[in-house]
Order: sequence, then C-alpha cells, then structure tokens
Amino acid sequence: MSITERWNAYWFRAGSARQLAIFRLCIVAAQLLSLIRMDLSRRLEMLTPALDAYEPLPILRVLTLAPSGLPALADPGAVALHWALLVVGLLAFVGYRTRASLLAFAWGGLVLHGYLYSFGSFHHAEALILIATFALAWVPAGRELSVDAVLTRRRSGVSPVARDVPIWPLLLTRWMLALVYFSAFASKLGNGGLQWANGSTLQYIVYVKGAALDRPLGVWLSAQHDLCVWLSWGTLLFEGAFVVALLWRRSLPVFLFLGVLFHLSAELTMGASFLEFVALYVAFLGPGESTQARRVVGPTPFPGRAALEGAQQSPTGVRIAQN
Amino acid sequence: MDLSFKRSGSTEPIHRRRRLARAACSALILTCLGIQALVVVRVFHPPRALAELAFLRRLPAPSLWPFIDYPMFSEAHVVGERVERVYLVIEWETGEVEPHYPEQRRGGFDVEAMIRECRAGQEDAAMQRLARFEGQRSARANRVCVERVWLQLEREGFVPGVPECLMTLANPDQVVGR
Repeated sequence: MSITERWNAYWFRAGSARQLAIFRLCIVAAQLLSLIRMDLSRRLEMLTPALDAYEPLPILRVLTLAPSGLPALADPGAVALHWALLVVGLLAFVGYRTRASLLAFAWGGLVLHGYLYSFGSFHHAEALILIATFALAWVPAGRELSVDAVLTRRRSGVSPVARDVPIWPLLLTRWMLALVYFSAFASKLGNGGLQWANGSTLQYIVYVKGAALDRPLGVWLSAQHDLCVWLSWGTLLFEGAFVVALLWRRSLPVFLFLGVLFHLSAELTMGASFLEFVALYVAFLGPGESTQARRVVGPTPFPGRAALEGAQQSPTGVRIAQN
Repeated sequence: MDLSFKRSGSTEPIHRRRRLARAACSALILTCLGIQALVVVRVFHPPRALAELAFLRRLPAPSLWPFIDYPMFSEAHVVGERVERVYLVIEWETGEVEPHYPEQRRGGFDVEAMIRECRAGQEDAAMQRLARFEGQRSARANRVCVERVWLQLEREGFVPGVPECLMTLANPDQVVGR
C-alpha cells in the first residue's frame, strides 16, 4: 500500500451523516452559547483604552481581503457582527443551507474573535472550535438532523444518503485536540519541569484565579496540598497521554471521562472556561466508520450542493439514493 | 482541466473531481496540522531555548491565531511565594465596617475599578463611584480604606499577613495618602 493510499484510507474513510450532524449540532450550540454569554459591550469598553495597541492579526487580513487589515471597528460595527453571527449560527444549527451557513458562521467567528484579539491579549478557548467549524463546512454535515434533509425529502420523496460520507473534519479535530493537549503538557514541562506537579503550583493557580473570580471551590482546593499533588500529576498524565486515545480506541472512554472532569473542575475552581473542548469531544463518539469498514469515499468540496450530494439522477429523472 | 460534474453518463469527470477535491482537503488537513505542530514546537524554547529552533520565535503570539500554543499556568510555584491582595474597607456612618473585594460586584459597584482609580491617583473618579454606591445603599461612608495584605503560600494554603492601609478616602472628599 503506497503512502497516498494509506493517507486516503485514513482521512477519507467513510462515516455516517448522523455522526457529522451530531458534531455540527454540538459545536454550533457551544459557540452560540458562548456568544450569548459574551458580554460584548463590556469587552469593547475594556478595549477602548487599548485602541493604540490595535494591530490586526494576519487572519483578519486574509479573511477580510484587506492587506492593511480591518480598521478598528466602531462599537456598532462589532455589535452588528455579533448579531449577524448569532443569526447565521442559528441557521447552521438547524441545518438550513448547512454548508453555506457553517462557512459563514466560521468566517464570522474568526473575524469577530480575531478582531477582539488584535489588541494584544487573547483567550484560548475558541480557536480550536472555530477551526473545526471551518473544516466541517467542507463536508455534508446537513444530510441528517437538518432542515436541508427535510426539504430534500419533501422535494424528492427520498432521504439523502446517510452513509459513506467523508468524516475527515472529525479526524482532524481529534488530532488537533491531541496537539493542543500536548502543547499544554510540553509547556508545563518546558517552563516548570516536574516541579510543576509539586502541589504548590496548583494551590497557587487555583487560589489566584479562584479568589479573583469568586470561586469558593478554588479557594478551598488551594488549601488541600495532597489533593493538589494528585491532581497535578493527573493533569500532566492526561495532557501528555491524550494521543493514546487516538491510537488505542479502548482507552477512549477513560480519556473522554477524564477530559470532561478536567475541564469541568477547571471551570468550577478557576473559571477557566474550556467547555468548547468538551463539545469537540463529540468528534470521538460513534463508530467513526460506516458498517463497510474503511471504505474510502471522495470528499465533496464545494459548499452549496449540500443535501443533494450523493444522490444520483435515475434515467427517468427522479433522484434516488446511491445505497 | 475539465472540472464539469456530469452525474449521468461517463464517470470520468466524477473521478477527476473527486481526486481534485481530495487533494484540496488533504492540503487543508496538512496545513492545519502543520501550523499547529509548528506552534506547539515553540514551547520548547522559552525559557529553555533550543538555539536551533530560535527562528521559530519570530512571530509573537497570537500572530498565527487561531493556531496557538497553550502555555497557560505552566510556571511552577513553590512554598513561600507571596501574592498581593488589595481590597476596600468601607466604614459606614452607622459604624458598620465592610470589606469589599474586587471579585464581588454588589449592585454594580465595581470595586476593581475603584481600586485602580485610587492607585492611579484619580481620586475624583473614585469619589464619584463611591457616591453612586452610597446612593444605592442610601447610606454615607465615613471612610474608605484601600487595604493590602500579602498572602504567603504554605503547605496548608495561603496564610494572610498583616493588612496595611495604602490610602484613605475620607468623607466628604478628602484624600489622605500613607
């Protein structure tokens, strides 16, 4: 088997449309929730004194096709983008014109957050889920659990093909997650060494963040030295070994359970909100392949042919499902 | 190159289109994983730099956003380290003494902003903020103290030291620095 064949067999294996649809629902819902919770007016108010520090990120230059970058938006501009994003996100969630709405949602999210992060400081939670949303726009994620699917059924009388769809965005998300966790692991070892797991480090972090964000659980945890030692080692092991979840599928439930626990406890003790990552875990669920194991499919690259992709026209002109 | 996609008839254009699409998706996958891997590698330098990888540090974070590394909370801390905690102590005319911490926002009273204003010498802004809070509470403050306490990390958690008053705002609009 050549390298190309191996590559195709891994990345372009067939999966189920339902799996893609569930992933779409989860990651779009997580982002919508985050957008609703976002106190944009307060964030813009905090950015106003930093207007001189505004330096558009390269991604903004690329996405807005403006070589000099997007000019600093007036507040109403950012608020309008926020509202437009909510509307497009809702369309992506219900699966209306799924590919186009997913692409617009990813574009808008990258522009809005890219803009907010062009003032020098930035957060980490949104980056990965935005990449996943962008990737999802290139596969038929609206073939099930969507308005598109209902409309197709109504128009043609048959359901869109639900099997043998490309699921490479799910695989990409899995590997990106592994890289991200490895980044956190390597940073801890690189900057703090094994001393990072001495317990005092975690006590320090949960107190400083917990007290600043009014998290009583964090303040309580900061007084539990032995527990902090165990949790520190657990964190290092989880982040460093996460890649095992990809390579040895039997370990997956353990890693996902630990991951949910990890992010939930980080949120409760120190306000580190990475619940977007928990939504991304849905990329791991399900069989990952159709019943016809490892059947390679061709990706469907161009947005706009969403629901009818995979359906073929019969000699009589009626659209029928491929399988 | 013929990119037409004829669903009926010859399957040749379909295969060609699929090959093209697969190549485009492969490029996207490789780009994402490649940039993310590059960003992750950067963590191997600061502060323990590998000289041969120094060229990767030319782009400061978050230049490659949304491809970023995740070095949050990666510094180690040890017993004996100290943390500064600054808060307000308000003495009401009723005699009640009440501490207000930055993380608490009671009725829109932004303690953090008031501390910032006091420490920056913007007493007028701080007094105006206090006046609004007094209005909400329907009470008058006799004295407001910006207090600082050093907390020292011990095995049992953070142990507070002796609080010290950094600045006093006295009613009606007198500011006394210490």
